[in-house]
Amino acid sequence: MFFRIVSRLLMVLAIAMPASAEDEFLDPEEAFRFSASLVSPDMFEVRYVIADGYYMYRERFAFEAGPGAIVLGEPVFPAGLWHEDEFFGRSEIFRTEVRIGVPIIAGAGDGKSIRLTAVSQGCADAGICYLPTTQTMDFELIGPLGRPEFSQ
Amino acid sequence: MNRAFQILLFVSVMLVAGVGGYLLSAPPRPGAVDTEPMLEASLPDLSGVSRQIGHWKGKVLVVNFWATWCPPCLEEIPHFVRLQERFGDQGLQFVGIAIDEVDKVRAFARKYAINYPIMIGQADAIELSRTAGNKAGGLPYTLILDRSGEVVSQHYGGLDEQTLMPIFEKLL
Repeated sequence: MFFRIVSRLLMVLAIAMPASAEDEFLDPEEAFRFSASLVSPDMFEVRYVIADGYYMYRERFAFEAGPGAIVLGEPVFPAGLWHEDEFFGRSEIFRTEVRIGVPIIAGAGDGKSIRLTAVSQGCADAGICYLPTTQTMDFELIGPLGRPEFSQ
Repeated sequence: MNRAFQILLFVSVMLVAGVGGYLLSAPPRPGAVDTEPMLEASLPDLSGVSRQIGHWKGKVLVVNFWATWCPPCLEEIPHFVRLQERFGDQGLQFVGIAIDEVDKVRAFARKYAINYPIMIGQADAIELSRTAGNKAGGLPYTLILDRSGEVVSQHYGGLDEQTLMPIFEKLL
């Protein structure tokens, strides 16, 4: 009985309390959930899980790796969707999820670890665009020439 | 559980819901956004001259954070240009703060004949927008301040003349 009353009251509370303007939009880290893995010694796979009502621009992704001179190749994108607006015309975007292959072309860094830095940018259909977000992920290298493995 | 306690619990929750709902849906209360750091901040304008945002305090001030890579930001600017033209001599002042590169902003400002000051920044402008209440880091983000410098409207997303006119008519 008590739990029934409490759950009913919580329901009333949820309806009665409108969200504030800033609560209408997710934080970018929630709207575009980033993860990355090393799928082979020479390829990162970067994944973004994109919340409903949000999208990311293909041309706004950028990747780099360090420490030292680690050269990354051209990212490999899946086919996206086409988004049209009056200012930029047609832009390729991703919704729901995108997995991006990022080749490691050359350079071993310090031989111990690699830090991948990913820059991305997206918008909400409801009419805001987020500032570019920079996220990093560290990977340890096992052994002098070993296969890098995901560490964090 | 006795009946009186159930009623008391219900009334308490309704009271909390009512007060909470009012506080969250009401316009920003004076002091809810501390505008002092923003008004004291200076950023370079399109000519590279450092301008303090507080220079325009005393007017009805619309501070708009935007960028040329943000389509909803670009859509609202022609509305701002028309409103600045129409109400400027009554004390309305738009100020744009672009989080962007100067060349792109300069080209856009020329193309759309922006008739109000534009300042430019990168990390400093991002920090400024957060200080001014832009917790989600979204653009466009606009604050409207009355002549005393109090925030009367805090808005994410595009604005247009239809939305802004009633606010300006009240403030000017």
